[in-house]
Amino acid sequence: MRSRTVIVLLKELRDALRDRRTALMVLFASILTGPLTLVLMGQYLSGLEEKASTLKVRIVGQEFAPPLVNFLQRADVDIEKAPADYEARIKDGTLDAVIVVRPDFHERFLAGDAAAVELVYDDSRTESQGAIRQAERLLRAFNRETGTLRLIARGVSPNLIEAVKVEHSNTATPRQKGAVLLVLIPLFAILSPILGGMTLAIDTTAGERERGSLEPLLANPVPAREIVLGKWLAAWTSASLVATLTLAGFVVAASFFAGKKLASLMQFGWPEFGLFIAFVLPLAAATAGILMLIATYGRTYREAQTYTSYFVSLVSFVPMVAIFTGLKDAFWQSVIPVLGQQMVLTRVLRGESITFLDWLMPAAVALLIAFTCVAVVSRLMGEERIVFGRS
Amino acid sequence: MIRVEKLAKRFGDVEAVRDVSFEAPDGKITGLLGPNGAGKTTTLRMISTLVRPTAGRASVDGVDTAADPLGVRAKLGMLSDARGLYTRLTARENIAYYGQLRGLPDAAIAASTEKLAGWLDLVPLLDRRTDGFSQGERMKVAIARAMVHDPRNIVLDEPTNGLDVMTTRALRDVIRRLRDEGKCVLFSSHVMQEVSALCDTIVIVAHGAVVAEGDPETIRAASGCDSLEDAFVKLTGAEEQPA
Amino acid sequence: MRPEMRFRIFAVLALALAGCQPASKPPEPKLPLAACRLPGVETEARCGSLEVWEDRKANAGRRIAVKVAIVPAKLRAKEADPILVFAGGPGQGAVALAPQVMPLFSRLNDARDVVFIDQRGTGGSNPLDCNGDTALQQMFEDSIPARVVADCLRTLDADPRQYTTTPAMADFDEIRAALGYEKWNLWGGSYGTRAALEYVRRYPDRVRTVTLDGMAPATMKLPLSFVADGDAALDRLVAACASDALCESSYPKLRDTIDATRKFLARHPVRADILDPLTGDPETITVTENVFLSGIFRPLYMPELSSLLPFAITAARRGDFNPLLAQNFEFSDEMSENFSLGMHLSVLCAEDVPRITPAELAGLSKSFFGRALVDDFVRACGIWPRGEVASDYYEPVKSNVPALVLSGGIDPATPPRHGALVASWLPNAKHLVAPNLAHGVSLHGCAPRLLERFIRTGSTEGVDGKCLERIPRPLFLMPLGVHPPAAAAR
Repeated sequence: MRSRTVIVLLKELRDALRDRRTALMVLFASILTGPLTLVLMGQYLSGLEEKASTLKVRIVGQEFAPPLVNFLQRADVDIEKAPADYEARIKDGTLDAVIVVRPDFHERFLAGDAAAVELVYDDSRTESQGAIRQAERLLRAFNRETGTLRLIARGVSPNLIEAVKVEHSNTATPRQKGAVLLVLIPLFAILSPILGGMTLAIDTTAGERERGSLEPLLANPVPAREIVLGKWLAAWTSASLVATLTLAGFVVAASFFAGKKLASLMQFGWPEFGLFIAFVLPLAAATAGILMLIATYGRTYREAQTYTSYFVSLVSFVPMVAIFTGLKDAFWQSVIPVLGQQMVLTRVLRGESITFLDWLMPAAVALLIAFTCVAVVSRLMGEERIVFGRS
Repeated sequence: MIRVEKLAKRFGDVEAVRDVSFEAPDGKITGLLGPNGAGKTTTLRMISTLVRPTAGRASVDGVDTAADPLGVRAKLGMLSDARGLYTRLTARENIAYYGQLRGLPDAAIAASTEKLAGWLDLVPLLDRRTDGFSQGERMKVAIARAMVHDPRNIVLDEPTNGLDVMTTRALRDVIRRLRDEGKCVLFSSHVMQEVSALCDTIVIVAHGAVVAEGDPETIRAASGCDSLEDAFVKLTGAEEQPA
Repeated sequence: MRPEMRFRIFAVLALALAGCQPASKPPEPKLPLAACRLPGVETEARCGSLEVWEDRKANAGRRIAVKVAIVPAKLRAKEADPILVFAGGPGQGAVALAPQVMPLFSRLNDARDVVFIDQRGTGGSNPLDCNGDTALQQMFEDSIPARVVADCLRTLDADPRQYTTTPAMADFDEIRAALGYEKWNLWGGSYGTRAALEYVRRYPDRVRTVTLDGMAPATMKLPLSFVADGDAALDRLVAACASDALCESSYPKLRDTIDATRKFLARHPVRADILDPLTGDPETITVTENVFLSGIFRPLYMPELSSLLPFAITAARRGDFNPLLAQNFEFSDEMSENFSLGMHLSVLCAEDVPRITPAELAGLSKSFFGRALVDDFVRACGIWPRGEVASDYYEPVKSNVPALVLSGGIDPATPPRHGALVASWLPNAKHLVAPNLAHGVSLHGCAPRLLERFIRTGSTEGVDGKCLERIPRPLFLMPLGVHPPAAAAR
């Protein structure tokens, strides 16, 4: 005789897989998450690099400013003549910033008067900020070079106008710098099993009751805990599958980008994948249990969806807090589900070594939560108000 | 055999069942008749162990519902008020799921499914997913599912609700066949004609209590009415019943 | 078995075992690294030092520590071959150059370590510093007083003959092995190109690419070559001024002004009252012909600075030496902070000066800069111990290693002719000339991008020097109040 828990597990999995549309959507979504994220990040990064590597300024009246043009040419800057309707073009966002040189520029420059140039921009556009800063920086550099030479010509040391020399010391280790971009993978690692387990967790509890199949199911001579255990295993399986696919998607996508800068930033190979899975599976057990517990209180499928969405928001909030408050690693975090995983997974990506104890604590907490949830849901399934609703 | 003694159930302030006692013997069809809200469904749920009585006791084949709920469930085939199917599974899979949960071997499940499908005229539907089924078809699957383990005692909660004439007739045939096989059949209905046409014994319930018990003729006579219908109306106080 | 036989077998076995030991486990010299900060470098570096024999031939005597600093790659997946920086001078320390050089490698540093080694005798590697008190006067003269040289020699705890290029390269390769690098990418500027090329000669298999910026080959006979090359650079400056309408009208007949000033100072050195550029204190400097010549020569290294020369020379002709001296003050200030004169002499007195022939010396008087730049060295090398040079040291270096040679067209020290010569030795070399740049091309204009591509791909293919040719010469500084030519709207 097969274990009744296994019977429930197999039935729930078969039932879920029969929902082709949902199943395929979840599978595709999880497989594509990694590649899409990496492609978008890659574009973002290369966009940044592009902007940083090719200096370009648009000038109106460059013929009035030979010294400025000479300086820009030496600085490897692309000088482009701005169109006559530059102001309109800046307003509608097709131009970022334009340097306007006045006709008396050269005269004033040679006379030692401040030769005014106008920098035209629309600073409400965030995408223009780079171009604006670049133009400002170049003008400042020109000022500085000219000023330095003029001081030397007067026999004055240019050190006098540089009272403070700022030397930057960034204490982030190089690896940490790369990993700033990698907070995303732990976030996906934590959220994907929740999203992957959600449908099953709701369908097997609130959905079962809404459908009217819960009461006949419980009329079978099977203890509620065996049924609940089977349903939870199904939700966990689905959660783990989705998490595995999502993370594998990242690994495969990262290998596609081999050789590019992103690939090396995204040093997320199969060993890291293995470590991630080791942390994510216990967490998925806990989240599947919590989702079931929450969904059990939902009168309908939709109501349960609403409740669980609060849980998803809460969970996605935790890593954000860790990211934005710059939390330092500490032992207490490992007992807090989600936060513990977030911190340790970030360490994995930083390339720090992970010990068995690092794994044990969060995993133990997660499994404890999972079994508590299963026990509570089993008890609830014996309660009339839960089984028959508040009708 | 199903025996119910002074069963009572209170949900907060509402006394759903006050005092219900009756006996449904093997080889007989026992009808639980009463208007909506009389406490029939709650009574049947207490028999099926899903609701715990506030007072009184129920037993199935001598097994007490409070002492051994799993034992009771094993002896019962219950068509409950809720009869939802898994719409993404076929009729056969729906039936087999319960068979497996009850620990039946695959061969027994197959044989039982064939037999019940023959009785219920389900054969052409067996391998279709149930999500396109009519209410009658769904009911048939639910009945087959409830009886896959060939139970000695069968409890049917308003089985004819919403069924067309043909399906109702087929269902009646099944119920009679079950009786003829010597099983204890207990079913509830608020339709008097249904009960009078089918039952060997009628238990009339009103406001959570048994108001009359016996074969149709006995009840009519005891009430002093000309027809069973009048007797039912009089006994249940259906006129006073709020809508 | 006879006992002695058994003994013999035993001995053979023991010998075999002993022979096995180093083969299976090569005795890797250890080079422990510790986290450190390089001033002016944003990220944390790793520093350490390797002890080597000062006299590498004797393998005995004094031990010196050679300092290493590594700016680690930013990424986890880094390339196996780092970038090694060779400093100039000779006499500059590489580690102290890091803040100036790192911007060049900021992107390559994503995936590659950048390694700085203070060549023996410089920086933090037993530096051969000659710290006589530098009077302001000395700052303006390219003179190496015999007294300074002699004092220096007495105080140094070193054998100056051991500080030539070839043994230093042996240090470098020992460090490479200790750090565990299979190969590296060499980048050298000025004298660093000579050292890098010598490294290529001695350890060709250890080099993935080599970038030579401002080629100073061993064959060039410093400082003799300064004379011809400096003359050419000055000629280009004069011509550039003449072809610029504003410069020509503001500083007419610049050549004549230069010659006249020089002749005057040769006969009548001027005691010039100037203000210290930094403190503003009044100082008196004796401006000799020599001070004037090196005052012109040194700014030629940097086109931005030499754009001041017409102005400064014209002022000097009028008797105002402030601009010319302030310009040099800047230059010397920067140079003296990271410069070990003793090591400079060790290299030049062994590798260059002995090869200058009397005929060459005699011929100098025909040139503009003449003996001013040479005599002091010849005198100093008379005192400084002369190191040995390997017999093949002046042979052309033949290697198939991909090489990028960069030259500045107006460089007074390492103009394109030296780069062209070395490029002709190396079949996989590409020689790029930036006509309007001087000493040091790598950090200017599009050069960092070219360099990045070259080192990333390990090939000169697709490295196009056209963009270097578009870099213009800085405009000359004009006296204030000059009016732009009517045709300024070009």
